[in-house]
Amino acid sequence: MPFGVAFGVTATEAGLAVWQTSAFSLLVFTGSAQFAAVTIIGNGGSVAAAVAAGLLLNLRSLAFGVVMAPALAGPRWRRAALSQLMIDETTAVGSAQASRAAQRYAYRFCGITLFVAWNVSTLVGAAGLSSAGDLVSSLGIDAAIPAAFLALLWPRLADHPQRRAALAGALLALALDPIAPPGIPVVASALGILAAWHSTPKPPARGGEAPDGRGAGAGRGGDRRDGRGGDDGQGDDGRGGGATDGRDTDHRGANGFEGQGTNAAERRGAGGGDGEPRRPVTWPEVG
Amino acid sequence: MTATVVLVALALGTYGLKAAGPMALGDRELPGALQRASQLLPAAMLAALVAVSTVTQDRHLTIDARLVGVAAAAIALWRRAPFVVVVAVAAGATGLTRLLAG
Repeated sequence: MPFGVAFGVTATEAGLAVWQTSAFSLLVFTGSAQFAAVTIIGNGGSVAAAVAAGLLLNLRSLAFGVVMAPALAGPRWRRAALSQLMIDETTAVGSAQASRAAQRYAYRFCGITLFVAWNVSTLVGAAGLSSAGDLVSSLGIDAAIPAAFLALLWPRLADHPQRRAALAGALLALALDPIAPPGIPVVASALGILAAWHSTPKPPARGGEAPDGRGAGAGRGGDRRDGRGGDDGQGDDGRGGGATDGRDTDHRGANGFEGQGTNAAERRGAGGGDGEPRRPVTWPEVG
Repeated sequence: MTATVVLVALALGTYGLKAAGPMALGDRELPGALQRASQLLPAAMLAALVAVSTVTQDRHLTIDARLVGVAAAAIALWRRAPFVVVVAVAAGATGLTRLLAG
């Protein structure tokens, strides 16, 4: 929830009208991509840069779609409609269920709940700020944006390859900033992944595939190695309505949808839902 | 206007990514490289966003009160504070720094 409000505020600060801000949350429905895009717009970046940054950040949606595809099988219109809800949390919750029907149900339930929460909170943030004056500098709000990005990044830093990718990306962007048009440095930072391409992630301290005590779907600060303190940003606690089996649903929580290690998704990704990991190690939980 | 164009393009592109699996791939797997990339990309790009929004201004490297705010946010994150607190701490620390520094 707070994360959605933060987006509403940020987008308005960047100069977007309330309807545009809402449209972002309705149509794009992924936090980090939305944040990146509006930040670049706010800095005067090009359409191409904003779109590229958003799409690169959303590339993992492709992996999610592959994971959830079997469970979402059905009439074309339904697959098309449900696809809009394809985000970190819904994939994590959905893919943790035992049967295809349960997967679809959990995915849909979680998805609709989060969709409503995200959009309502966006509207609150956008509508609320548009009537306020310019408070940015005196209240230090311009530090709130990097802080939000840092909050999204933080859980990922627990994982070694992602840490390297992060460092490389940051340095690349800083190096390009003086010479490239706005937004381009962020897009170029994608190349930072090359620095980490051959690193193998360490398994999380708790080990393996099906950690228990992972805060069975609630994600309220259960077992996070990263110490995110359980702010779920979506006002949602284990929303797969108790249909989650606590195996790897501790997902989104803190940062709304974003930048989460596609933990459950990755583990399933290989086997199309049979729970066998493709890799010998798992990505750390990043709720 | 720029925002609307970005909106439409990003919405279409994002939806395309989300729906590709269910609509087209069926049970086939995503190539390993693409999976790996999609895992690492947010880390690299989020870090870039943090860096650029903290220490750059109009294409110059600028160290100012924002850095204090982001450092405070990092401490809050390390101490497992919730999202709202982290952002509030950052804003507060920056505002305070500006106040004190005159």
